[in-house]
Amino acid sequence: MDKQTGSVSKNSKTTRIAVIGSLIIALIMVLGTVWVVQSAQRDNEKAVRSVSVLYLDELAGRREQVVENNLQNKIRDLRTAVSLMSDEDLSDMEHLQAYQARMKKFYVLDKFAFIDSDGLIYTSLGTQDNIDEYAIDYLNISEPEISIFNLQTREKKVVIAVPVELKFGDEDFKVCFMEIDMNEMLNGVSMESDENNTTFCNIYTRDGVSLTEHVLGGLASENNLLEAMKNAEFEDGYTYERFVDEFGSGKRGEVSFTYNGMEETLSFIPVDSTDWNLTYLVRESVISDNITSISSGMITRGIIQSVLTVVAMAAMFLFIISETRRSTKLQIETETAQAEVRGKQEELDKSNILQKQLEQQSAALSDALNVAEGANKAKSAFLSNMSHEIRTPMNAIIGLDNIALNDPDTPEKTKEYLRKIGDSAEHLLSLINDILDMSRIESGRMIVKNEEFSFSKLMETINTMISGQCIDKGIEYQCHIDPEIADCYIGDNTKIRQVLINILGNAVKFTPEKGKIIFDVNKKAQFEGKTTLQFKITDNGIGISEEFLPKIFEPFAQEDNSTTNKYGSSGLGLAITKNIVEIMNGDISVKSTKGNGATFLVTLTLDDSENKGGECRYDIEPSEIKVLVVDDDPIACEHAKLVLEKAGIASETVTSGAEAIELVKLRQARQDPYNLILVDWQMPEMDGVETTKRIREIAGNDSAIIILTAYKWDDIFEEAVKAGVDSFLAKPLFASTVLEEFKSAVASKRSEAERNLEPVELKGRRVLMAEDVPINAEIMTMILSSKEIEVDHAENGKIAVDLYSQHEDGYYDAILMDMRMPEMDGLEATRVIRAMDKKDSKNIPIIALTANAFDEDVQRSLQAGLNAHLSKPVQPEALFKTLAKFIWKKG
Amino acid sequence: MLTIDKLNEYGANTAEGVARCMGNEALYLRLASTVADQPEFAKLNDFIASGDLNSAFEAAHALKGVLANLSITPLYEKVCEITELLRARTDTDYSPLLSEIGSLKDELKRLIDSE
Repeated sequence: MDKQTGSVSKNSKTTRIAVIGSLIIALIMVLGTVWVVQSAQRDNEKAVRSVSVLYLDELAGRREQVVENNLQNKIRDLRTAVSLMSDEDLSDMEHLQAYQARMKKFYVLDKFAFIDSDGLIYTSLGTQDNIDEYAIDYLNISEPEISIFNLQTREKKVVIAVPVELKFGDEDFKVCFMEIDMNEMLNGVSMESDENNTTFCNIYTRDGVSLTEHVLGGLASENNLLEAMKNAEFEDGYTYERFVDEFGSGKRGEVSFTYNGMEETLSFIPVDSTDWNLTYLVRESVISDNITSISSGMITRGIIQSVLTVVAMAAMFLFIISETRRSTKLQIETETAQAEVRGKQEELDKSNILQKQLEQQSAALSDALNVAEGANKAKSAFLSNMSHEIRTPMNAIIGLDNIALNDPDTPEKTKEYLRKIGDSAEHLLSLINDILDMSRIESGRMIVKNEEFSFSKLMETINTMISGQCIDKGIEYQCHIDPEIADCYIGDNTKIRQVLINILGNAVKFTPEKGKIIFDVNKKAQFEGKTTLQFKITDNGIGISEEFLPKIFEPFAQEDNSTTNKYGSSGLGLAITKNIVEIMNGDISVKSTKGNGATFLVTLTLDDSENKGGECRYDIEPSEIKVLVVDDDPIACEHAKLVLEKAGIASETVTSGAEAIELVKLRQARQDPYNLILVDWQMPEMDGVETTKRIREIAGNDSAIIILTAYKWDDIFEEAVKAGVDSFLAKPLFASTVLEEFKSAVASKRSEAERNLEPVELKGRRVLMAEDVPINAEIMTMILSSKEIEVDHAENGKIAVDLYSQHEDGYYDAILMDMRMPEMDGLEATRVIRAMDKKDSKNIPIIALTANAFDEDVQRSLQAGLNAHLSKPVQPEALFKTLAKFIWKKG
Repeated sequence: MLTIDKLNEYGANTAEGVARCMGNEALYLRLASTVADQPEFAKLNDFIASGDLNSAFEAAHALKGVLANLSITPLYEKVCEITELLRARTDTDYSPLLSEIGSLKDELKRLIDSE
């Protein structure tokens, strides 16, 4: 209980401190608000004052300008009126008065008059002798003078006088003057006070006489300004005398004062070339009223805000106090209850701990799984990236090794070393390829092709390779192929070869000298256009132990780790093999006993080809392939050339995309396109994909384009295919893979082309042929006639141009143009035709015929507007093909 | 009278030449018979003699086209040789080549004129 009272008294003390504290804070806030608002108000007033003075000055200045302009205009009018006077107008009184009347009316004047040397005034209505009433010094006037007539009355007139020298009879006119109504003179000057009666404008003489009937604040127009200002209370530091002095001496100024209890500010400004002051008055009452209402609003809002804050704070304090009290009470109740609960709790805890342990275990397991999966993914990605990275230097090693080997100056001993380097490099590369394959399989990126291939050729290459290895090692090798097996199937021959070579290679590796390997291929079944084949590979080598057999297809599994060194392999071969077989929906199994060799069984089902027996359609003779290699690295180019040469493929090399495009253009013009273009992916300026795109624009579908890269192409695959890439090849190049990829690219291309191309009927077409040599012309005519093409023969370029221009549009389907002709050669004739204003002159196909087309000639003829180049002697088939292509293109 | 056999013996690729005439042997022989009388042979000699290599090249080039079309190989090869030299306007003694061409042409002429 002691404890309880203690805490209560402590609570009430806290409450008191809280209440007092909050009151002090509230007070500070209210006072602060009031002070802030008031000081803001003072600042506002100051700001408003200085702004309104600036504003006044500006308004007054602007009006003074208008008044002055008006006066100057009147002086100009007056001078004009005088200068227009003729002798006739001055001949007698009647003419003079008539002229004066006209001017009066024209310039809207009250009076247009002259003063003679005696001071007599000549008006349009007669003479006057009241010169004394005018403030014009008519004898000494030398420049325009402005004065006021009837200054002390309400009918004030502005008098503008200029000196003149005119003879009127015997009299000399000394002065011409006009009299204008003040309001007329002030036309365009806004003198009215504004709607709120806060600003006023007027003009006063320097003596304080108002020149208009406008009021200035509380000052009526008949009251003298200087007199009235005697009653004003000026602001600090300003006196009445100072005002009279400044106002009377034509200075510009502002003065603030209180007049009849009104706070006002007056701005005055002298009107140039007069003794008038333009005045502008602003009553500050309205402005300060507005400010006051804003400030009082601010004060009110500030106070309300403070009060609200205080209320909120008070409410918060009260809440805190009541909560503190309640929690004290609850604390006691809880303590009692807790004692009861504790017993039960302990029992619960025990079971909870058990459950938690279970949860932790399962969480740990799932974490471990995640980590393992992540690690596996990371491993795949790492292996894939690393392998690609390693390929680049490998590319250089193999390339340079090859080049060095082919250098005739290399001594035989060095060549031996180089061969060994080459062997090791290729082995290393095969390991990298294995790793890549594995990572592709694991990431699901392994793609299986479905193309027609020659099964017998596949077996031939496998047997050549394996029998060679067997002979080297002294092993007997037998291969039996079921005669029921067809020559062509549809499937992925590259992958099948990989699988079989892997298993056979293993057999060679694990079979000692004088051993035996048997390779049996059997047809197991044929159904619904498919055939199931079984490949059986038996050896009598070291065999596989019973314990290891189930693990044989696992990655990195090797029975005896020491064999890694002895036999040299990645340990991935069989894992890859199994995966590939499974991707192809096949099956692989193995039987073996330790020491008694092994038997591998691979079963694959392939689609039957319609092509029964004989050669497969898409077999390609290496010697017939024309290849262009595009690679910015000259070493890579040379290497590619070497590799291709070994396979009997002739190739040209260039080191940039731009050069490649030029060559493709030339080849295209000569109707001799490259069959295959190998393009490096990564090149400066124009990369492989862009190069491909540009080549496709020129060459259409004539060439197979394969991208070469040391890196993985999965990322650019889609973009590249869109640009027109047919396939990809990993660097370094091997002739066999180049041929393989080329075949499949050509195969898919041809089937596509066969679907798309409709043959163009050449029969009945009309061709204009320019050829000067009669024998050539006769042969050409013969060739063209064989397709029932009509030929018009022109003996030179000039005749060809004439013939073309004489006939209507579309009369000729194409022009065959000999290049060297008398009168006008083919280039010139082509230029002339292309420049003609006929409908088809821009797009009629013009095909050059020439005995010797150098690349420069082709270039020139392309510039002249020729579509294609055919070399003499003309091959009829090439001619027909070209004609068909361009006539078809023309549409 | 020119025959396929005579031309073959001379060294022409008559199979190719006839094929170019779309199998029309008669046409081929008729055209081949005119070869030896091509005015370009004389022009070639004259222009080289007068030092006008530009015109000589034109003549050689024209001859080359005709001979290629008819596949008269021995003459074609020689004319090719002189065409390339002339294309480069090579300053050389053309007379040995010209006399070779002349004798090959004369030989062809004899074949044409003989029975």
